Amino acid sequence: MKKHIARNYLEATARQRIKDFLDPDSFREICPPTEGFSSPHLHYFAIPLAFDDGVVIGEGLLGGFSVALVAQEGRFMGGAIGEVHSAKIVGLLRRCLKTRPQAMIFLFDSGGVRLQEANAGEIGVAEIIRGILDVRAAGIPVFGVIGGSCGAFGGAGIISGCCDVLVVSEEGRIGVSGPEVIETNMGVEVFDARDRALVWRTYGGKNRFLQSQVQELVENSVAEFRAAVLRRLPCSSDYSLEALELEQQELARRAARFAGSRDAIEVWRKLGFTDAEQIPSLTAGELKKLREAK
Amino acid sequence: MEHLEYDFKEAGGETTAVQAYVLTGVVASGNLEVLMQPENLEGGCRFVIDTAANGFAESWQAVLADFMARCRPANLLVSINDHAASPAVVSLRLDQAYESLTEK
Amino acid sequence: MKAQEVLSRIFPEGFEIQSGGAIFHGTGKTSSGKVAVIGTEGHPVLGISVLLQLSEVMLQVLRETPRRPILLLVDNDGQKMALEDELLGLNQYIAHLVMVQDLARRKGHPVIALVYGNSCAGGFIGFGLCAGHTYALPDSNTSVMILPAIARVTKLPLEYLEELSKTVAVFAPGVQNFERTGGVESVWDGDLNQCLEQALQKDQSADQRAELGAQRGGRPLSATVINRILNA
Repeated sequence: MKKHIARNYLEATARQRIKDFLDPDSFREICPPTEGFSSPHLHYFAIPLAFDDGVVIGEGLLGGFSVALVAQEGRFMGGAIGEVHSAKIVGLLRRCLKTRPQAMIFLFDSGGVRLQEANAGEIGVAEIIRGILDVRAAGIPVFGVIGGSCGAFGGAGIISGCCDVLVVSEEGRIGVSGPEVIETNMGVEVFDARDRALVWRTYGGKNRFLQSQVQELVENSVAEFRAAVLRRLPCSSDYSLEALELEQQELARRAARFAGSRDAIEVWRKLGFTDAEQIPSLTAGELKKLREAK
Repeated sequence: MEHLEYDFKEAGGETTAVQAYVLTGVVASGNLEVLMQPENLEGGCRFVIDTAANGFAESWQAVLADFMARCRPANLLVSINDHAASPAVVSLRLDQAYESLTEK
Repeated sequence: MKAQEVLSRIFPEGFEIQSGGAIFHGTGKTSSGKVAVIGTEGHPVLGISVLLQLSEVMLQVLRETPRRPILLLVDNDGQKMALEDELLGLNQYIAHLVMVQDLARRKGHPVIALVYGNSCAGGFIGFGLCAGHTYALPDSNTSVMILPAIARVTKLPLEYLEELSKTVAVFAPGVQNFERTGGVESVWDGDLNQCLEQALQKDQSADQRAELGAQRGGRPLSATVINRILNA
């Protein structure tokens, strides 16, 4: 009896996503849960372990292209990055320099550094970034996929900014400090974390897409995420001084143009979307059409 | 946290594993993960459990015994990380794991 | 220690620094030539505006003075927490600054970060931990989150965490913990000019922090896991 695998990206587990994302039966997990590398630190906090420490890594095929893949499990401690979790990712990234896959794909689903292993997580994030940039410097493109319930926050948000291409769903969110953290530290006047519409306008995939902070916006479906990455293959990475100079200009322009904006609606209006209030209710497809029409 | 181990003698059945291991479930509140692997235990099955819910040894014994009687597996090593899942959820994950491990 | 004093101790032969807004930058003299200096003072939080200034100054060094060593003087209270900055993609601005540092190193500029004040969370990742090597003064502060806040979030008693942090280096703030876990290469004490000269000689081509963490005992598993994957 064939098991029905969830097609809904948001609700799928990391392992379910991998099954549908890559070519059937092509995935080989590296450092599998049977090797026993779970967290050596969580027992001090009386927290149950995960055999894979919340991240699955391995190699497989995507439309016939060889890929290395990382999939974070957002349901385990909010996908938070601890020692083993980060080491698995770093190991896979360094391995890419030997195996030379045609792409490296990172399925993000993480709130950032795991507090119980804060220092290891923090240093681990820096090591992951270095690993990603080594892969890019070798010409291998790095794709970030963001559509899980934890999105990519904190250190994971910073890592995502180092990828070549980001593919995000409306449900996906990217940020550094989450709304609750900002409200706790700065007050509800600065950010009302219970205003969910505000949260999604600020951190969500649509805003990131409209400001060109991400390259692709897709519906909440594993098949769509897969197709969006596959459409861009084969390609190579552009990690160069020229690219960073252009990025500096783009980032400076954005900061100047939207300085003082207090809501995404203001930004979208300035971008030329007169019916900006309607944007949250559009589908990804409708929004892309609207943007192309500009 | 509590660590529990159970050994069951052979249940009179057979298990043909089509994978080296299966991992089912996620360690989230009210849930658990089950790592199931073939292991030569002379027909028996071993269950190694780490659980965040203390004091439920008897309940685990019952759930595992039910699983043994229902599926009649042989030569399994089952490792579990549990975050206070109910017996019903535990049974579900065990069944899911066994099905994945043995499906054609 | 204030920036002025740090600079005097690192560059006894002299330095020329200008302050512009939230950042300062310039050059210091060493026996082998000039070193570019970029830093912040008064532990500001790092928002979009400051991040842009830091990356622009660094890009200038890459454009105008190839292979010149770059010293980052780190003192920040983490990322800025504001709706506007998050709205405009604060993560991208931090990532961009990180990539400029990383590319500088690839292009032959030694990039050395010295924490002399505070370094915190996203601010530490963005400016400090992504240099070629990271150093710290003994009285500086390196942290992800302060212990009382960790106690609140994890719902564990502060006293328990304080006691635990004496033997477990992996979660609590402090330069010693970051050194033991391999994040800080070493603590600079005494003759800071000598410390810089030594740092300038070190090869920055490989990230050896996992091995350091294993040797020093603060991160017992990272190197093992990485090697297992490389050889799988």
